[in-house]
Amino acid sequence: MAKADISNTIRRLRFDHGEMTQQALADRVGCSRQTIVLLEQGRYGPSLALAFRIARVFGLEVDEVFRYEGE
Amino acid sequence: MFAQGWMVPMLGGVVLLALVAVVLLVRSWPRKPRLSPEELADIAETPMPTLQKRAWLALSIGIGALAIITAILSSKGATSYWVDDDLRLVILGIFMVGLLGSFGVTNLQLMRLRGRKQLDERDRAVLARAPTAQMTLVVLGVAAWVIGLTQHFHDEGTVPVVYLYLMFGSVILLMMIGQSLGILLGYWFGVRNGEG
Repeated sequence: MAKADISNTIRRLRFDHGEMTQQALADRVGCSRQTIVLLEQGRYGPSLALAFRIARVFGLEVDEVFRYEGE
Repeated sequence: MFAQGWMVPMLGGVVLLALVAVVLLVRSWPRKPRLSPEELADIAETPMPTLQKRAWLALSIGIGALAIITAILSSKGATSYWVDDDLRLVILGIFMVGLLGSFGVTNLQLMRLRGRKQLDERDRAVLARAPTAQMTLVVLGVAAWVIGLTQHFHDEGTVPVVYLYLMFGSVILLMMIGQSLGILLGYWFGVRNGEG
């Protein structure tokens, strides 16, 4: 699939949290910056563990960051 | 080269079937929307993950060693490996540099990256898929050797023992090249076509 079925608001949340850089977020959740770029473009569907870690960085629940767009 | 007439249509049939398989594979590939210029720029600015950089280095070392050995044996003749002790040592040296260099920058680095928890879930997914390219390259390499040797030595009915060593050495190098290639293809497909 070209686009993952899961959309997210990571880019907006980064800016809302002091314009956090992609690298800073990547370091905090333990992944590469490339993974964050692909996540923001909706080209990568994260594992549950990574989704939880990202949501935790922003102090939100997973479903407040990620949304399932499949049928 | 083709000692018997029936081999031409047989090999032609094999090549044709392989072409049909490739066409079917490409046609069955899911169609991917192109990346927008902004998305491409975003990716171009992103530094490569460490594993991807290592794979490029290992691929260069592996291909370099294989190319040098092939060039030497092509100019001196394959049997020179058997009769010329100095040449054998040189080739073994290049082989070991290629093998250990390639192994060192990928597999030894992998252990280090795992230890430092520097592999993320995408890296691990790419690694898990890499053996497919590795196996394909090895099978193609062995097939090329077998077809080439069979055609070349068909009339003699025997193959000089030296070719067994050369085949073994080349397959080992192809294994290392295949691993790096599999890793790079994994990242390339992942970035261009998305995963998830």
